Amino acid sequence: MSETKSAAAPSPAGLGRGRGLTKARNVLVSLFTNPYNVISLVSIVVLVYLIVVPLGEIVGTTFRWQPKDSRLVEGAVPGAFTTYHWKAMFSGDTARAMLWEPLANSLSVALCVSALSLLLGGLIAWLVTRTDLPCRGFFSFLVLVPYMLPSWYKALAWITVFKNERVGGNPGFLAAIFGWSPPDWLAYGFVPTVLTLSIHYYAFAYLLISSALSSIGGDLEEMGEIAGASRLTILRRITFPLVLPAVLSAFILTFSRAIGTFGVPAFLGLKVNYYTISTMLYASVRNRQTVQAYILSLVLILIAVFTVYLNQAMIGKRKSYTTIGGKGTRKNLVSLGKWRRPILAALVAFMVVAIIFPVAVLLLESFLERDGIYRLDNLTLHYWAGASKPSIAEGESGIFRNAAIWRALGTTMKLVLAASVIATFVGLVLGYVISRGRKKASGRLIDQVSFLPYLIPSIAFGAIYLSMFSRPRLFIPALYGSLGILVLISVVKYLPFSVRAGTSNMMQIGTELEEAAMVEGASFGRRFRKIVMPLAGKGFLSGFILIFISAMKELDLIVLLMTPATQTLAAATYSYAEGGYHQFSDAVITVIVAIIMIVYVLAAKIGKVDMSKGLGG
Amino acid sequence: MMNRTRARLVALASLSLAAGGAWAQVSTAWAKKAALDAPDTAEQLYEAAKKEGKVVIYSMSSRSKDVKAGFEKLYPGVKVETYDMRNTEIFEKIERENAAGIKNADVIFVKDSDGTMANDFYARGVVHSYVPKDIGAKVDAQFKQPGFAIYLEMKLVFYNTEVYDKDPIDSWWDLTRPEWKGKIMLTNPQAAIETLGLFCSFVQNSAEMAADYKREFGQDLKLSPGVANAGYEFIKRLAANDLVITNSDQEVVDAIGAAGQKNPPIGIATSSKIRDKSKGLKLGSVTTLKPRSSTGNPAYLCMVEGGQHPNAAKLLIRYMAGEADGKADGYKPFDVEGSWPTRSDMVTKSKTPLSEMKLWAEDAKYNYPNTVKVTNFWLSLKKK
Repeated sequence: MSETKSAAAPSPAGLGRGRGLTKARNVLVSLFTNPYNVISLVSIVVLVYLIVVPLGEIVGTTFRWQPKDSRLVEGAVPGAFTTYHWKAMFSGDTARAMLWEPLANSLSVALCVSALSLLLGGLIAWLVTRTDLPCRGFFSFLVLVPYMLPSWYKALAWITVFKNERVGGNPGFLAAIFGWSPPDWLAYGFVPTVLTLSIHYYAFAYLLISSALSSIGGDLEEMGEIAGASRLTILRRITFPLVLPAVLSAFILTFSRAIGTFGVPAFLGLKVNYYTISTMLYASVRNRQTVQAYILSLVLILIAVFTVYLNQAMIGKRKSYTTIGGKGTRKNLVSLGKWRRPILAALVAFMVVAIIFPVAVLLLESFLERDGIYRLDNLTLHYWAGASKPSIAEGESGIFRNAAIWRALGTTMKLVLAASVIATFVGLVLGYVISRGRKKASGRLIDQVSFLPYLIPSIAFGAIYLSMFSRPRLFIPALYGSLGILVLISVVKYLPFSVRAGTSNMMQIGTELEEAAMVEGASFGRRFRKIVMPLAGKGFLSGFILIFISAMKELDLIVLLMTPATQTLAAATYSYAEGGYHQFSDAVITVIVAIIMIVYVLAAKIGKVDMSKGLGG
Repeated sequence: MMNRTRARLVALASLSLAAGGAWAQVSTAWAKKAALDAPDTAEQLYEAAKKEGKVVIYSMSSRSKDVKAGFEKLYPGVKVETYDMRNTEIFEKIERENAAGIKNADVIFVKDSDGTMANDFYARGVVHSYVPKDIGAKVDAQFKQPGFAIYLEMKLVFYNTEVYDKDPIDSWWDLTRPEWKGKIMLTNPQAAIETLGLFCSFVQNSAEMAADYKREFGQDLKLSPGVANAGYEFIKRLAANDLVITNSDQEVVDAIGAAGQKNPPIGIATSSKIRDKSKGLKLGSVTTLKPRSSTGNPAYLCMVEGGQHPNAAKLLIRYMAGEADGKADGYKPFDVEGSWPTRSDMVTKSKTPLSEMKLWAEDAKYNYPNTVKVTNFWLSLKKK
């Protein structure tokens, strides 16, 4: 402070030289005392430390011999430089099994899922926004529900229904009820992975395309009609080109998500030796083949970076066209005519298959004492509320009596609340910096760095943080095994969404109020607390809910990081299913689904939160 | 140049260490304080354990949670926290927690089929062996090195007894026959170190495997190009038989043993899973397979470096080993068919005594480098 004073009052002597010096000093002082600059600086340092540094370390590790390598390679000196791991991964004996086949599988799954999701999402978007389909409001609410639920729970339901003779034991639903054992290709591997993921990810396409469709005024189409174009021509020549950027965006978005997804291929792939990069990555970490896991992580990241680059190159900064005109005419809804009822029926059927059926199948199975036997005398409440019985599932007691499940519920709630509050608040602060610093390099830098986690698929992110924070680091104690690491990774991973939400929130708050307060002498902290925060309340809530739901269903991000003491409900489901205890995993997932649905409905009805605003993980 | 010399020195040092026979065991400050050599009695330990209040165990066997109730009843005031994990997962967690300085686990209950414990964890003082003096006197030396094993089990071939009234196969080589194509279940060897250890035994004892091939098929085994020996050749042909890979042995025996099947699979699972007969599964296991039935997998109880409840940990290990008289309930969950106690004063519930089982010995020194090679070989194979 004293420095500022002396700088502000230069001695009359040496005025000429002193003025330049004073100015430089003032700039320097304001650089470090202006709250905006301080926040920017801190944000950049923290973001680099949490995102860029880990990436760099991972790359470095893959080029060094590891202590365990001496088991296999003579003359490997731990720590010395080597390209052995990359060579082995790309051209060694295990390259086909560990990299090329999983890579081909990941790519083909991601491509097919993107295409199918686009078809589904686009069609539903058009039906809901541009036609006279009945109950459109209801559908627009319902259509997002599959996305709110974990993708891998549909995979669990799929296995329950399609399980065939290959794995022996108790039959699946179809085999038990209709005596039909589905072929392997329908029960496991590529086909079910693509179908279940598409039923999940079509929400992206739906959201982007429906918002593009509703932003187009009706006038262009009307003009086409006046000029005598047929309905199909209008669709092809006018509507479709206008929504093309949204279509491409949706494709890329879906692709970059589907390429790294773990839960679904983990449940559906293993029985037929079907690996994707993500499931191979998981297996590598579990077998303590750390370097292989890192290389697989980097491969996933590179693919994601490439797709986003492609997106930028093809579409550029413009995410959608805005048609310029006067007040848009009221849209003429396309009449479906005699197709109205069949389409309505088809849509209802789709919703039943995508939402109600999986929940119902898993719920039903959770009441079966022996899975696959659908008889009244086989019904039991054991898996929900039964006391430990040695003859059932190694004496595991029902979930409501199970201390481990209650602990997992507690962990999940703590994690989800902490992650969503912190992420939303950080998003708000960073959003403030970005929105007020749009013309400054710092604002743009923060914008870009905070987007980086988007490019790192969840499972790869988990692998990276596992090694980064397993030992004490600069300012951060060893976080492995604590709830802290789960909160940290969730906050960082959801940053792209929370920051985007925060920025758009802040953009809507004009600077005038703040300036007025500044004139009145209010400090930065006071301005932020008294003006910015109250105005941002509504946006805060919707961002919070979105991250809450994303964290609630999260498996990919934390599956590598949690320890027995920090198991979440999603992870409990996974380990039950992995151990073959289907009814337990069914019961736990039902609890997760119930919590998510309650929050979703409450948020939409009471909080008036528009879930279509953001796209979480 | 320097690097190479250094590497050679390191290699030489580790070689002489291995040749020395005894497993290197590092005594840390923690281990000294925990007095792992003290002639403890259950009473002394219980008094000290009450002050500690609880004990945390990471267990590869889900049966450890059945130990909890009996222990807490016998020793009120000391709670047991059990975490049921895969063997490899326990290794991964123990290693990371050690590096991070996290003191969570007190005891681990594991097998060491890939030699990680013997070659790495003991040598670095990540875990410590604790053999109660009085109980140890009744246990053969081979089960006290490198850790204290309370019983032995092994991977056996299982089948459905409703469909097969006697063992459907008599040689490991039978599993490569086309009649079993698509009908052999196996827990993913990448995730199950006992299976990897068994594969290692095939490789280590390839001469026996080659001889048995000749006995079974009446001609010399022809190795595929690039395959080193009969052990690897067996693994290659097994993998080519369209195996059904699962996540756990539980899935294997559930699928094999479910009642009312017409065409059930067979498969490889841990011998003690035969106990699931009591749950209505129709299970049988082959205990006389040629050239040998399997490789014995000792189940080790070890103390974890830095554990915060050393006395409770010792008490739990004693309890699970059956206490001084071998009659404590702690061993009950493991006293099942398909499991062979290491104590000379206990009798197995299995039909065949251990002395009559033809088994390979688990060789931690051989397996430590070779499980990596076998894993890579397994990964390089085209399945189906």
